[in-house]
Amino acid sequence: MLASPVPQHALPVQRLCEGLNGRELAIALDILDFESQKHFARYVAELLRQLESLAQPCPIYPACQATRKILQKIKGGRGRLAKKNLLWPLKETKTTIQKKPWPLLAISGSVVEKKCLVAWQKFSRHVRLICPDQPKKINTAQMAWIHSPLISPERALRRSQHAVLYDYPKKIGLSRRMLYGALRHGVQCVVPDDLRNTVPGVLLPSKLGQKKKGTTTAALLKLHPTHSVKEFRKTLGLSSAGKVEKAKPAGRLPNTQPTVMLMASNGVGMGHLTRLLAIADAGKNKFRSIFMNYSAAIEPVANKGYLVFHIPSLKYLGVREHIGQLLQATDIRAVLDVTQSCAVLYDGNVLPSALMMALAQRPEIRLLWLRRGMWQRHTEPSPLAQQAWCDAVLEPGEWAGRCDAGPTKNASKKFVPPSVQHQTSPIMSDETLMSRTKVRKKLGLNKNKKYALLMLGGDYFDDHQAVLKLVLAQVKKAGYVPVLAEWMIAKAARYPRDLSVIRHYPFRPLFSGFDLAISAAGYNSFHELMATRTPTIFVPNEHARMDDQLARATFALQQGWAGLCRKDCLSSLASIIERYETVRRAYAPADLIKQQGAARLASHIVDALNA
Amino acid sequence: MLDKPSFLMAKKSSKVVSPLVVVARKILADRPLFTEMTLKVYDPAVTETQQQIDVCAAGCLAPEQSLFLYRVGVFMFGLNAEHHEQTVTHLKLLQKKKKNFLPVIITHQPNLRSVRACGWPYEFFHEQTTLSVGEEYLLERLAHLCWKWRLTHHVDWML
Repeated sequence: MLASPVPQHALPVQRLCEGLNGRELAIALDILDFESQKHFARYVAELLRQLESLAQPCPIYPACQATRKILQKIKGGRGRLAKKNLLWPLKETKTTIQKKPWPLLAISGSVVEKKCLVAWQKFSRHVRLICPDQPKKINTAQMAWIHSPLISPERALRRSQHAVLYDYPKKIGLSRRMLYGALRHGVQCVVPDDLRNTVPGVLLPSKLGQKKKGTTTAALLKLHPTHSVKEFRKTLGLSSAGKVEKAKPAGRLPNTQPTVMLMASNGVGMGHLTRLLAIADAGKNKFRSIFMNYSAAIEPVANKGYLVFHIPSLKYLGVREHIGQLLQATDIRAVLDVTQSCAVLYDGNVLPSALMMALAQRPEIRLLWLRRGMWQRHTEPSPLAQQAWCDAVLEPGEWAGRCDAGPTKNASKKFVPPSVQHQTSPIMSDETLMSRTKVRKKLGLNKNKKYALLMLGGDYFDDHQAVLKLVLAQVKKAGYVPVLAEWMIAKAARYPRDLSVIRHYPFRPLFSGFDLAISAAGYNSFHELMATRTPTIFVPNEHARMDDQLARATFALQQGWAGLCRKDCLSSLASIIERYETVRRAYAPADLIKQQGAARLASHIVDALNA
Repeated sequence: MLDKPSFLMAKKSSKVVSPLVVVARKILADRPLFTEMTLKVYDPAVTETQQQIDVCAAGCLAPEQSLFLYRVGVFMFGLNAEHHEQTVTHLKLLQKKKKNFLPVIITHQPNLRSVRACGWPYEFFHEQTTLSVGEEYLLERLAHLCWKWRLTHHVDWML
């Protein structure tokens, strides 16, 4: 009879199994934590017996070869349990997971054996690994993993029923950071006795039975005796024993509606902001929107009456990148606290590090990613792995969606999927068109001349002036008077004296005043021009950093909705315009135009808030 | 040996004290690290403000061949777009002459084009902020900015 089969810091089996529903769990057990193989075998046998009694089976994956061998030696273990999917030795795992792809959660302070990770990675696309160090030779793009304070343990563990977190003496610093994070965010932890007086809220092994109701996550920590209590207190922000620093008090915001922070990335154009404004307008009665813009386009938001904050981009900070990100994170966190935001809706292709840092300390705040599709085919897909840490990924629809060949199309197959994913109809500004006469009067245009509106996108790229020069010459040649639409965020530039420049937002109401639009095929320009049935020649911006504008423009051409002129054919733009005028055009169907995704998306946000 | 920004400019007498000044005073009182920081209060006339900025900049450079970079927080609250542009232009000229004078613009003006064109550090405060989230936030925020930008001086616009 073994006197103490369970190591001091391991959770008793019964506690471990409480609340399990088998939905998402893999336990990485480290045999080194047990006094002997016999102790370990006995612990696992007990664990398996408990799991057997659950209504739903729960898969267990041996974390290393030694563990696997021992599991196989357990009396009656392998044969009996395999039938019920309780235990899948490595060799048998592949087919089983393929049949029923369980999401795996492997948590280990030590690096789980490489072979095992490679095997998991091949078998399942749902591997989430929480590990203090990046496992070498592992393609981590296939799995979400924690290696920095960007993701809080609580956020990572939110979807888990149970988590067993092991520390590894050789990786003290890194693992300890996870412990601090877990403690700060209410994850119950078990720590050695020597820390019981220094950390509030921890459970001692002897008091596990007194665990409070409602906590769904438990973490089991084995701390190395060399951990410094001083450092521990300092990192926890303990000014005096038993006190943890709290978030700043809220301001005067009314509590009647939940507050959602809408963040627009510092994009090339105005698309991110336009979508967010449309969503804020649609959700006015459901939640309170505040804006935190990386983009310098603040005026349109302020004019609409929304509270807006701004984060100047790193180049204006004049500091090194990582310091700049820390400063930005501080600013974001301050605004989240003072506005009592419950969720962040970020529109951009890559979730910024500063935002993740800020949210790492506010894990209760929902992270929603508004991610436009139609990435270019060869765009680096690795940012998509960030979706694993989002509470929802919301994708605004595309009329040209069937031409989408970018990595977002299969994001859920290639990367760990988010909790929730939705796609809506296209989101665009719902500003009504002004009459042709009004527009011409407002802009001081001659009512008898033919005008072409040039919307060539932001001036971010070097070739902007060269393209503009070519387009101007060709438009004049085709008999139109060019009018340049300048973006709100455009830098001051010198234009030809005879060129009319309008600086306005949004441009949509003005479309009726023009006979033709020469436009880039960005998300908003494309949908708004097509929805207002404005005669258009698309000049797609095919820069590698942009979305797949060529695919959109080609789609419009195939449908007969618009003409297409690529940048390398700009010298023939005049003839394309003439040909386009003579060919009878088709228009986007009315039922398609009526579908507006902003309202739908606003309701998805509400769902995410209530989840 | 490095010079210290120890000069203190004569404060112009004024009947009204702007809330920002009160806030800035509190910051000065609470932040011993910024004891050298000088708070300036000016009259609203644009020309006079420009003169005062000149004086402030001259003061920054008073110790000959100073190696310090003087980060001067310029609060441009309550200015209309035209005055805003004028002040930025003036600062730009000044900064061209005196390289160790770095304005940090703190503005209410949502059109950031002119400020961004200069490439200086800047911060934006929406006018609604105080109403929506309270003065406490403003106090905290300004204190944070002093730390963030290591401001040595303030130039404030007296409303």
